[in-house]
Amino acid sequence: MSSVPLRAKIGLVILISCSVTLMATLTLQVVRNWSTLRAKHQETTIATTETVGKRCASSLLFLDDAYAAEALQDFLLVECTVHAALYTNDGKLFAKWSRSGVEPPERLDEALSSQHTAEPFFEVTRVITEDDAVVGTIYVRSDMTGLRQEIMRDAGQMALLALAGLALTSILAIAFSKLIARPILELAETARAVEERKDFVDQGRASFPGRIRRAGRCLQPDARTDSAA
Amino acid sequence: MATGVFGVEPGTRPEADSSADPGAGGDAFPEYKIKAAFLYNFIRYTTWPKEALGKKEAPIELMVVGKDPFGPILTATFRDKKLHGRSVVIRHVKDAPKKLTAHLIFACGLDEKQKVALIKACAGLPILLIGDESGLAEQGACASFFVKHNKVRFEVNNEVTKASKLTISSQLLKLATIVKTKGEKR
Repeated sequence: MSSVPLRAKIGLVILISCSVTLMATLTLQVVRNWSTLRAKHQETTIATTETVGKRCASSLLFLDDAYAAEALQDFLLVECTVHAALYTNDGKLFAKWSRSGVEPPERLDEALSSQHTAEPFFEVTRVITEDDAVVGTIYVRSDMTGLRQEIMRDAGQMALLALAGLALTSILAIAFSKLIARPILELAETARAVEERKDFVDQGRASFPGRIRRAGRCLQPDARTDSAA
Repeated sequence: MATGVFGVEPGTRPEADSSADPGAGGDAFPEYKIKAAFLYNFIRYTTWPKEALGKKEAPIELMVVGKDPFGPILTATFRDKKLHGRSVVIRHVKDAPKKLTAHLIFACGLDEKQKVALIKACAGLPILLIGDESGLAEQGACASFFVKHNKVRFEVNNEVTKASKLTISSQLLKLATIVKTKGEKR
């Protein structure tokens, strides 16, 4: 590593810093998107389940499974919902809807309002009441694989953007490493010249203007005194 | 899937409102067990004018006019139950009395003349008149039951219920076949 030129080292440092920052930002963004999308999906599923359940209360009481099946079709609008079903008080399937032909269970033995995630599935169960009396249960299952795929697709696009950003960073790193390395190299060159010829002004004159030359002028009297001594 | 109403298997849960659930209790589900539960739910989803219900503790009166096809089912359905904070008393009469005091009348097995007389007697009064046969709502009753695809369904004449100052909940109306007097279906 010590044999690598200073300019290349600086370029490498810039490139690595930018890459790490970009990768960390990208990862954080993907994680944030996933958790936001998942929370939003769960919220929508729960809200729709409760709304549809409320709408279906009277259909359970009047044994109108046709109306209930129609009401369950609202889940078509909730992305990723696999199936939804209504159950009577004795746990028997009353009406159902399924998106992909995956049928809901024929019985629902435990009628408790709950929701839980068992990756990649999210399930919501709500007890339906009317005048504080339980009239049935609604159960909904969604598969979040689609959401995950959507996130991965977005992540892929973001990674492409990040790669483009890295390419731009590489170009900038080359340019900036030149700028950053220049004064250091000048200083090193001056130090080498002073070491060889002991003339501070001459070495810092034409080729090294500005601060290095001024520094040389300041150091010159002291150096002469030192040499005389 | 939901079984035809005449074939729903029984099943109850302690917390379930079994009296209002036509699919709960008993060994079989004859047509009138379903209809009794439907009557219960009709009361649940109907709002009477305050003056029609009387005092706070006054019961809701359900009158069966004509034949009583329910037997003990109707009493069992309403036993120890309160609707709108009131208990429900059931009466059975063969012919409609001249002075009607009931809140809900279920008409069953009446001849044409009796039907017309009953509809005329209930007109404008806050009485929910429900017929056992299809077509009574079109003749001027508030609602009537009919059987379709082995299931009990009902038709509602909303013009009549409005004229009777009764309000039927949209929860019930959305499940009903809405009819108009003189057989004009919507």
